[in-house]
Amino acid sequence: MIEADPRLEPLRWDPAESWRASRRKLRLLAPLNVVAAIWYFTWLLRPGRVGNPILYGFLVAAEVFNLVQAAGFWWTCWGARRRRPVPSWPDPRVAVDVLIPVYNEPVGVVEPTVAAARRLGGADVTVWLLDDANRDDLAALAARHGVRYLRRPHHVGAKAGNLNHALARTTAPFVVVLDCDHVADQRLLDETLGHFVEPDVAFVQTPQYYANADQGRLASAAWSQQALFFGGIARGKDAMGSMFCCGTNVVFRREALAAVGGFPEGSLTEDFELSLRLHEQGWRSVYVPVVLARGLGPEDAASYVSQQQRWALGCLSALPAAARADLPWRLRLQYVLSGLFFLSGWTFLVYMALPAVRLLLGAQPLAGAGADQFLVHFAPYWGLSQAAVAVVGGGSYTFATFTLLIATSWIHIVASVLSLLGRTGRFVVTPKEGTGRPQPMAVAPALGAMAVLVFAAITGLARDQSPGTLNNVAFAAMHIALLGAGVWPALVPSPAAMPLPALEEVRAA
Amino acid sequence: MVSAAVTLRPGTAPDRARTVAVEQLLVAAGQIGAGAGNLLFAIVMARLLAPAAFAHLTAFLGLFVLAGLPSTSLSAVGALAPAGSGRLDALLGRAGLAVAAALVGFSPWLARDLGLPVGVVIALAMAAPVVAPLGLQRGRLFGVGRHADLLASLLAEPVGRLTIGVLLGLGFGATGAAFGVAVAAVLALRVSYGPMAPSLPGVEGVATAGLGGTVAAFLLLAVVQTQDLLFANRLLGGAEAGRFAVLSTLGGIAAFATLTVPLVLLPRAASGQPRALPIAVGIAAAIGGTAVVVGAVAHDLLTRSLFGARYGAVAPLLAPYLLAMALLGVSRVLVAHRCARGEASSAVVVVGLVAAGQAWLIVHFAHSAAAVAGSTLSATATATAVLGGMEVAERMRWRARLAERVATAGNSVVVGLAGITAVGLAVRLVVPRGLWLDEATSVFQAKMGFSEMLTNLRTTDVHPPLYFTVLWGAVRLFGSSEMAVRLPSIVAGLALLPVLYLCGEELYDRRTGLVAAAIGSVSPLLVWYSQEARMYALFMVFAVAAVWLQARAIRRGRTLDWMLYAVVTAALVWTQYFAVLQVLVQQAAFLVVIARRQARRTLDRRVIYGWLGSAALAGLALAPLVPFAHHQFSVNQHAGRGFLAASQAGAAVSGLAHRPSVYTLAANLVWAAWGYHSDAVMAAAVALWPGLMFLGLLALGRRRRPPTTLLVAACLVPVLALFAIGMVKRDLFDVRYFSGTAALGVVLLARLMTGTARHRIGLALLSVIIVTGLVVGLVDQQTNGSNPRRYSFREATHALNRAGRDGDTVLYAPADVGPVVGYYDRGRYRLRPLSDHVARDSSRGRLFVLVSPRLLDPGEAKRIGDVLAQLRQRRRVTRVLRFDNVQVWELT
Repeated sequence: MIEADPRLEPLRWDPAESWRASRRKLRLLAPLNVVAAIWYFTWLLRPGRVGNPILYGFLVAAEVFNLVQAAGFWWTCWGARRRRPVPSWPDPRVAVDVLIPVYNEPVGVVEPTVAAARRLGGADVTVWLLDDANRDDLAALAARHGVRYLRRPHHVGAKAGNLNHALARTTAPFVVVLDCDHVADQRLLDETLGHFVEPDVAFVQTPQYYANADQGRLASAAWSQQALFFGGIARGKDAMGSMFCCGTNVVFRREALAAVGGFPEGSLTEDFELSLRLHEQGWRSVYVPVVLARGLGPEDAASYVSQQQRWALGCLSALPAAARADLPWRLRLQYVLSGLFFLSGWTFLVYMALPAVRLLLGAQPLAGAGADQFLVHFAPYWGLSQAAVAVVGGGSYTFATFTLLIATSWIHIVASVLSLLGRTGRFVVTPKEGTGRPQPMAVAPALGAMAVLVFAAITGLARDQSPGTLNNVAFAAMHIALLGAGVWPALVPSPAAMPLPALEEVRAA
Repeated sequence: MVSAAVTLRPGTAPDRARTVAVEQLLVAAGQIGAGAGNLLFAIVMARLLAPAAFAHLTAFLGLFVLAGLPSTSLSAVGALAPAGSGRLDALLGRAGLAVAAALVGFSPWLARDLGLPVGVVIALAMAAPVVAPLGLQRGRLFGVGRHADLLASLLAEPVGRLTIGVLLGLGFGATGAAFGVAVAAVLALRVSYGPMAPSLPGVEGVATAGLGGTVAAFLLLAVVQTQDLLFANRLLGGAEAGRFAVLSTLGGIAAFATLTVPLVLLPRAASGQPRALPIAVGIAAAIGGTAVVVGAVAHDLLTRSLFGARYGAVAPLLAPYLLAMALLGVSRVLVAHRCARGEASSAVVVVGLVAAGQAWLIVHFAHSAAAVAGSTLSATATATAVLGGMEVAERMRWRARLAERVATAGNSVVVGLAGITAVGLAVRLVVPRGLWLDEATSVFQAKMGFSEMLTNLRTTDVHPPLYFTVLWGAVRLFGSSEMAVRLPSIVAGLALLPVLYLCGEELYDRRTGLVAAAIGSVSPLLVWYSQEARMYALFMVFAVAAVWLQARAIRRGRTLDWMLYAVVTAALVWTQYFAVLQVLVQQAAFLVVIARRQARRTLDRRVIYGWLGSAALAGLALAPLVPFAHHQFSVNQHAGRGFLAASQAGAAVSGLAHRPSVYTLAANLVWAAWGYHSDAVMAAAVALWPGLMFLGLLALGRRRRPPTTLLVAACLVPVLALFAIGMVKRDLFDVRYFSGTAALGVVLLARLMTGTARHRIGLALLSVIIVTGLVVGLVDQQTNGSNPRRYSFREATHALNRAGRDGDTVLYAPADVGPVVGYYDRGRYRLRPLSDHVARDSSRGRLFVLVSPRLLDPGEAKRIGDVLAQLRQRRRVTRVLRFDNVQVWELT
């Protein structure tokens, strides 16, 4: 029996579902969040609170960073909106080039993408298969489906270089970029081209939907992170005109691309930097919250880590440029906030370290306050913050999402260090199929952190069993449990999905 | 099957309501006339005979009725199968003679065992051959519709008693009167034979299979009616037995008056006439109800005036006992209906169990006429409820539905729930602590007369009266032993387990229901309050039932669901005032449901009607509580007492005595989830609050389902509201007052578990972990002497009982502990509250000072310390006894 390609199955997500209700709830929660934050920070920042000055400094820095992130989140999602559908592009024969860059992905992954691209309606479509690995099987695939095939002599600039190579050889006024695993909906151009009636629109982004989200715990958690971004956050960014390009399922105006010299080849996140350049030149972006292509997300820990490393390093490397960008303050701040997200791992490190230090060394960041006072000031702020994210996520922000984020937070730390050192890294294509094998190395830092916390808890309990110690043991235990849940998919992976069948096989089945 | 063999008799009037009712009323009038005559006979004899002799006569009458009650069952047989009465009559005559001979032969021993004169037993022997044929012949008259002959037979008996019986009684006391009763029965039998009734044309022979069940069922009903009198005669002292005899005589009126109703019903029910049963039930209830009303209004007249002032003590018991007999009359109708439909076996089982239960109650708990009457009332009420319930269930085809549901649920669920309930029962029956302050106060109140108790509650208490009414009944039935007064809570706590299952199943699925029941079986707090003679177990069971029924009403929208929801809601508030908070949440939930359905255009107007109807019904039921509550609170506030409550366990944890802190909140949550523990354990447990953060994260991304929202709101709102109220009235923020929330939290926890562990093994593992944690908490709670809610008043008072001598004095503090010390006091010493005045007293005996330090506020503690210091100046402390939260000084 041939397993069906999940990209050909019905959609299970609507990025604009009950968005009004979510926004209404957020608008109720956000002011409460502000009050709770003031309540907490005015308590935290009193001079008498300083226990160990270094630990206190770390704690305040982490809390301030999280507050900035939270405030940015509330601000972004406050004005989230859903664009009304626009009429199609006036000329149904307008030329559109569909670029599908391919590197080492299996033919089984690429073929449905090519086949679907061929069926796109609403324009005169030319599909280009951009082979960056000189593979004959891809040439055969292109021939089989009657699409254009491009192979370049020098493989430089990774995906951006591949796209730029194609841009130089194509001429249509609009360019669609589809990752080779993204099967486009026939309505893709009908839903997007109409926005280009406005002459300053550079690109129209659509959601990146992982059709394989049910192929295991990790795929599901990875998808949840995507869903949160392409839900309330992307709608909010769109309302502010700050939506950035996400590299696939996006339609460009060739003129805009030409104006900024094509895709930046020196970046790991060419889409992010491209958007920055376009916005700097006054171009606008549009987000259409309709799933118009279905792709494949990472299915195992190694794939996920690889993807996150690239995004983290890319965005952090772009952070200085974003901070200096010649943009209205709103847009600039949006870019900075997006990049700063990849520093979140440092806060997790601080939160995990504090109970460990208290249990091992007896030092603690706060003084002049009991645990009950901390609880009464911290709990409302923390609870409301989590509630706000949960509301905007509309169910996509799950426990598994959170624990995966914590378990892989070391990526942020490594990426920021590398970024500081000026190491730009290498573009690595995210694998589209899981291995089905345990991958402890992908979560080794998290396992190390767990070991330290267990040791600290045992040492602390052996020393004394006072309520203060128990409170820190409880914090350590909570982090151990969260890390444990986060590393679980890497240690006990879901069975590997069957290799994707070729389209012909699916049809035959 | 009888019903299958019987066709509508040509002589039977058609199934017209009026005809059926007139027939019933006519025969009942004759029966009441006969009863009035018999009562008159009893009254006359009560006047004429000494109490002990009258007790003998009433015992004889009881035995006569008991002997004649097979005759009532035979009447049922005669009514069902009149054609076969001839042969049976001869058989019964011969059997009666044999019984008579045996009675005469064994009369000396029987008389000794029954506590009766030998002559009375011989009189009984004389009546023996008569009573069974009399019943059979009267039944035959019912069956063939010879109601005039029947009336004559009924009236012949009292006429004979009032003439021959009175004359013989005057001459020979109880024995003579008994012989007179026997002679009157012979006269009645002769009248019943009368001109032999011709066989009615078309009457079919009746299959005799199943008639044995009918006989047995009616026989058992007779046992229920009369065994209390026999037991009372045997177990109570002469004067008390005489008082109960008066009660039995008067109470027998209601039973006697309705005796004919089932017999008239039988042939019609056997013919399949559907209106006969409601009319019969209605008439039996009307007659019995009238008797109750008359008994309630004229109890003094019926006791003191008719029987003499020495029997006045039973006057308050008359109405309840008449109610018992009225219910027996209704039960008889229901039994007759089952027998007529060939389902006598189920009636035999039910009435047999009720009779056995009644006997057990009387033997174990009934040490007074009141207790015997209470036992009978509970027995007949149970019989009526069960038989009525069966009838309703069959009419609504519940049995088939239940069978279908059980079949669908599978044996594993049923077995699992039964096992959980058994564990829950075992855990709840092991009560390692004595009564504490509040429990003793409840018992003190429940020992009062009913109206006195209500007055006491209205003027000194802060709780609604439903639980106290239940406890009042329990004390009457079972006495005031620790187990007896805790029985209502144990029963409620046990009932909570299946209700938890039903709630979990209704809101989510069977797994959740089972897990909720399993958690509930060992949940420390639920167990604690299932063992406390206070209202909290009842509060919890109603709280969960209200949510369960609300969900049922919304989903199914049946009238019965709405009505049950309204009744339970009313009961909830009648049990605990703070339940209003939950009711408000539930009413808001109705509004939300209606608004959402309206928005989706799926609103069925019946939901609105059901909601409004249930609200109106609940409001109606709660209306009488409003003035009660208003009076309570205004009296308490006016007296400056505010809301009296025991000092908080865990106050040391909170660190704030006058205002609840976040730690108080956390401590209460720990209590709700894990029970009561020592301050040190609580401080440690509260320090684990980051676990709540983990639970919060665990809930992230879960699809928000309306039942969960309802449960969370029903849990959070009362807690937060009471926390806010606690800022003003510190003692009101206590887990007791939101224990209903704790029970609902069990369902929520079960849902969290089943939602987290989706596989069976994972769920089993999680359940084992949680249940193990709860068991650890339970064991610590129940056995750790440092638990601040454990008060060893029992142990302390028992020590005093052992050490005390006449003339010793026990001073106690605070004054509130008086009821609990009094509860255990065996009368060996004088009991007084410790006060300055008493301290200045110079008694010569030993002095014991019993203090519960945890119950003292700081000012009180200082005062008590001063008094103790004064006492020490005059006396020497010879011993100090320390118990859990109780300390005793012996001063000589």
